Amino acid sequence: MRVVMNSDVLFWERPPRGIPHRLRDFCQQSAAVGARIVLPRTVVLECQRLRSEAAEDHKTQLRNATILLASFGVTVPPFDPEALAVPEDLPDLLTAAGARVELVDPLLEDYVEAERRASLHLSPQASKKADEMRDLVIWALSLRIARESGRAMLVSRDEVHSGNLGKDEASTNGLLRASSLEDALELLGRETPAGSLARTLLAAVWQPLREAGLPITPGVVIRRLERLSFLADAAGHTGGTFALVTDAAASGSLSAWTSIRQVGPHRIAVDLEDITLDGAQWQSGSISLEVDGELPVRWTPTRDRLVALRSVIQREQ
Amino acid sequence: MNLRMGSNIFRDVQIPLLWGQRAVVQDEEGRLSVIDLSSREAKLEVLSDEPAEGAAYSPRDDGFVVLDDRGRELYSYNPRDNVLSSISLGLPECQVTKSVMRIGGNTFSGNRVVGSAVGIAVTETSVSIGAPLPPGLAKLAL
Repeated sequence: MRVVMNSDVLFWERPPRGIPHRLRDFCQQSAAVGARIVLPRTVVLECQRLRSEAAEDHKTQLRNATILLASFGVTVPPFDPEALAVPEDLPDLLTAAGARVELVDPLLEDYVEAERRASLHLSPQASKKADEMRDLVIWALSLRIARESGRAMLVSRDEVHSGNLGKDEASTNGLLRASSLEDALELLGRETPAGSLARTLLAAVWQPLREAGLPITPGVVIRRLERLSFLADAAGHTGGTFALVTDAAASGSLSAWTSIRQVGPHRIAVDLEDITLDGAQWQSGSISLEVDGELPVRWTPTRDRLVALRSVIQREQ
Repeated sequence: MNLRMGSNIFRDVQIPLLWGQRAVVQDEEGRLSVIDLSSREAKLEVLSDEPAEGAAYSPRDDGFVVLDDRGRELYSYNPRDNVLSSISLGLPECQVTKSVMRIGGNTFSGNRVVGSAVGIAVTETSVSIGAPLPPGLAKLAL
């Protein structure tokens, strides 16, 4: 699959050199499933600007370090900050990390389409006040790549790219959307720690959901998990919310917005909303259950941890 | 508040380390807590190296990511190395071990900050030792 990357998932940290661990891991895992990272030219140029600014900072820091060391009588071998602090190239960094990288120049049709959407305030532009062209160019380019390839993915946290306004258009064009690298890996079929935890939560309520009439397969089958978020309770149990796509019992797919949480010492609550069966609403569209059981305890109970923090904060207050 | 963080001594401060709009506090065992002060009331996000009760998070191989109410990734925390890394806050990385405090490329060790509202203040563009309390922050009380 071709995976279009927006700048906001590439530059979330400002490492002195290189790329962050999470991005390096994404490069390797995406390559392992044959995915290609697509870098729109606009993203590469934006990165180039940020890396150039960082390189200037590094040159200044190197010069200052030399002056500081000299003031303490420490001499260092001569070096040229200009030669050392060279701006790093994003495609080279990703390739070195193991990714298969493809640079894509927006076409005139992408610019024209972006201009039309910006000027007419059309979807997926979220704000009527913003006439941001760059995000819309990436949107138009991603839709085009999805149409050309049959399917593609856009990884972006930007509201324009990940919001509800573009949901139907993305689906129609075969464009999957992920708002984090972890969501993207799940969509590529790689199990992440978040996905693994969601599967554990689902296993605790799967059979009761079937018995309540939800048309799902006997065994836990997960086709897709998105927008995963978890909460710890006071006792250290972990609950979670996420968008789920699974196989329907007979055929086809069932999707739902899912929430699972501990509501008592041995009681688990599960709510499924926006339930659709092959794209059409299933019955009332929701189901809520309380079942016996206990979600995993992953964390120390709050009370025990709070004691230590309060003793620090309240010592002098 | 009087405490020692990363071998730095903070005396009579209200917040030892302010990372953007979040107070970072290290307990005597070296564990970090992060408290969001951007709203009317202080909200715990990280409590003693673990996600706080009611704070949205997502697990990672090396720790967890703190999310906002809409599921947007804010920052990650690696409890093994005590490293806070901004994802969408635009702040420099922050590491507080028992012996050293590192913020971006700056290392603080063996400093003494006395009588400032904020011991070390970190913004998107600056790091200051001894700073006034920025307006609009919630009181650091739990």
